[in-house]
Amino acid sequence: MLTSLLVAVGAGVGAPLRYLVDRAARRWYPGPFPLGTLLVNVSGSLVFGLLAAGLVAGWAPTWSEPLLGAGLCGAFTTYSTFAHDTLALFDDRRRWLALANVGANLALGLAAAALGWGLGSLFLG
Amino acid sequence: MPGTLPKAALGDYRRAVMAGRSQLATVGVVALGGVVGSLARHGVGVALPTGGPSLATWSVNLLGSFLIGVVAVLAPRVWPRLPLLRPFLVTGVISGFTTFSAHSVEVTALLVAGRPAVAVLVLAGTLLGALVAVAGGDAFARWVVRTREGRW
Repeated sequence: MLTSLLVAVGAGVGAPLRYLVDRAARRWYPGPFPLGTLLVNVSGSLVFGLLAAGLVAGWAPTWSEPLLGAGLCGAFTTYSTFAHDTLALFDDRRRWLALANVGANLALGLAAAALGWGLGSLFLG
Repeated sequence: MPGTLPKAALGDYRRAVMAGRSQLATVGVVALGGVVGSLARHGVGVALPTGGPSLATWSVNLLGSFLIGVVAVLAPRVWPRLPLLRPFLVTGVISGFTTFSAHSVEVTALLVAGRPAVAVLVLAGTLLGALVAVAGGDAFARWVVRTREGRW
């Protein structure tokens, strides 16, 4: 019950933050590449990687997982919009951009999670 | 001259206020939808067994990808008078339901645990599954729209 409340609070911040980052990215770069989704997925993966290492190492409190992990980072990042953006680029005959979107999200998202994990393991690890 | 310029300026002011209100409303419905979607994702995580590669994260990402394909086509056609429905369902509920960060952290954890083959399987299985799901949802919704044209 309390865990659900922590998830809800984190998500209540993470989801609108994703919307605002995406809007700012579209204003800054109005082109066809879904830059906003890439930005949230990479930065969210970095924070969740850091947190996951903290939970393993013991410096992150247990309540931070539902609040900041499943809640904040979970709602801030999105797989469905990434998949839908990729389909839209493909249908738009922008196949190279679709491929670049997949490559950038997977490679940079994984690298960010690994970097966060590595940084998180340095503290008290 | 009173009544000439001020009238136009008043129109601009009203438009700006209306735009600001609609923007605030959008942020609000996205937050509400994100809470609903994340709680549903949390529920799936509690219901499904943990340990090893996470079946829960894979499931929510595939199901959410199918749903986004369906709703993105249907929402503006079936309910064109509800402009906040799409941000609520797509940007809020469904995007909050699926998660990229948990996925990339789970793949990282598998690599750290010395299980690179499983990590690649989860990475490729989620990507291919989600792309097939979103294309399937999109095609299904377009078929529904074609067969029910004009009957809404």
